Amino acid sequence: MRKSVYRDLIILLTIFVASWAAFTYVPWGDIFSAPDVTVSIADEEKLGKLIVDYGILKDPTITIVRDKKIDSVMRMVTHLLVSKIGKTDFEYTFRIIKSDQVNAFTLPGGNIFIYTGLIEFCDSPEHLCAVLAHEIGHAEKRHVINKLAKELGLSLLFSVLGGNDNVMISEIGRTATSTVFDRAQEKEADDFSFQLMERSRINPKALAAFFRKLTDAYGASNEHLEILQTHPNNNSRIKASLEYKPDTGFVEKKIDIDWSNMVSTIKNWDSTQNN
Amino acid sequence: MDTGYHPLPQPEELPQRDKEDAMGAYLMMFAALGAGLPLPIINLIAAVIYYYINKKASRFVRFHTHQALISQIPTTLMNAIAVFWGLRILIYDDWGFTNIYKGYLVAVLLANILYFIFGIIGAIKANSGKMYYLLFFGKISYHSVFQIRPDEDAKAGKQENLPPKF
Repeated sequence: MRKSVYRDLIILLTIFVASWAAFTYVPWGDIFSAPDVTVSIADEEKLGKLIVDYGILKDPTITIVRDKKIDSVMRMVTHLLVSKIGKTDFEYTFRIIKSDQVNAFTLPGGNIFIYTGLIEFCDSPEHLCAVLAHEIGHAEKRHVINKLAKELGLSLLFSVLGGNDNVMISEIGRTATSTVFDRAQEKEADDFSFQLMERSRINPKALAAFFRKLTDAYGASNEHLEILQTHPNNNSRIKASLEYKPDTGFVEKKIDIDWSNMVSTIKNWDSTQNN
Repeated sequence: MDTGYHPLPQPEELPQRDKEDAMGAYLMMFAALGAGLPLPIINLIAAVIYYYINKKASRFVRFHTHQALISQIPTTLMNAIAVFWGLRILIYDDWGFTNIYKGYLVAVLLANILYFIFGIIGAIKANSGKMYYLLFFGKISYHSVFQIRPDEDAKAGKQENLPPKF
């Protein structure tokens, strides 16, 4: 009698532990994000171009910084990252917007915008790289287009692709720039940025340093900062950045840029010297 | 130290009252489970109360209340862990909504569903006067209710009303 009781107990425990283990290894992410990628790369690029052209570049309130010196520095920094993404579907375009806000955002099709306030806020080109790598992560993981599809509906996105409905496009642009990503997406973008930084020989801890500086300056929750919007999570995000272990062969390489010069150029830039 | 077991009552020997009481043990548990969802402990309390109310009942009733009681301890514990683990994730945010937790939730959900199904079967069987042994718990309950314990049975069998002593 005793033996069979123990046998029963073991059967029950085994069933429970086995089902726990089995369901733990179910790829939940794939199941729940299955309806995601429903917009093709070509459509995303087209939509991104429309939003940038009509929603940003034609917006009189937005000034895009164009300066030979700044552009050459930006080209150097972004090339460092983009060249290490590996296989990618997008042609990345980085543009700087004149604004004191410490912010950056990603539009569909690999269009990344950085505010001058953010560049001035960065202590080093590595900080900027960390933010850019994070934004590239959002683009590579197609978070923006998925959010747009979820919030506005696919039919609306596709209807815009056909005609040139400027009002609608700038409306989509507004939704895209005010997009809030969820925690899992921020984590995904963070993880992507760590790996990208490692491949670009930038210390992944730069993201933590940047986060910390942001939280010190603006408090844990600043609704203007997309990058900080999942605020209860900030400590774990800083921790993740600090704990990220690069491969053993990883050697950090300082980016050779006169950063203070870059910052002062950005500060002194005004639209009259647009060249 | 098994000293043998009391004979099992057969369906036709059992009064209708006993069958209903035995079925009540399982049904009671479901009602309390619904009420106790946010804090999955109420059903356990209800089961303990039901068990003690029926302490004096026939062995058949006691077997079913005992089985209903002990078989819900693991599920209740699992549900409680799921709730507190979830709260911990929500409040402190340092454990994260991991796959381990998701897997646990699904496993617990499955356990609850299985438990529900077996509970219903138990209630139906009890109502028709049949014994029903759940895996593991059935044997424990049978052992603790039907085992012959000479001292306890003697105590229980002690007669209150005795004829006058001549």
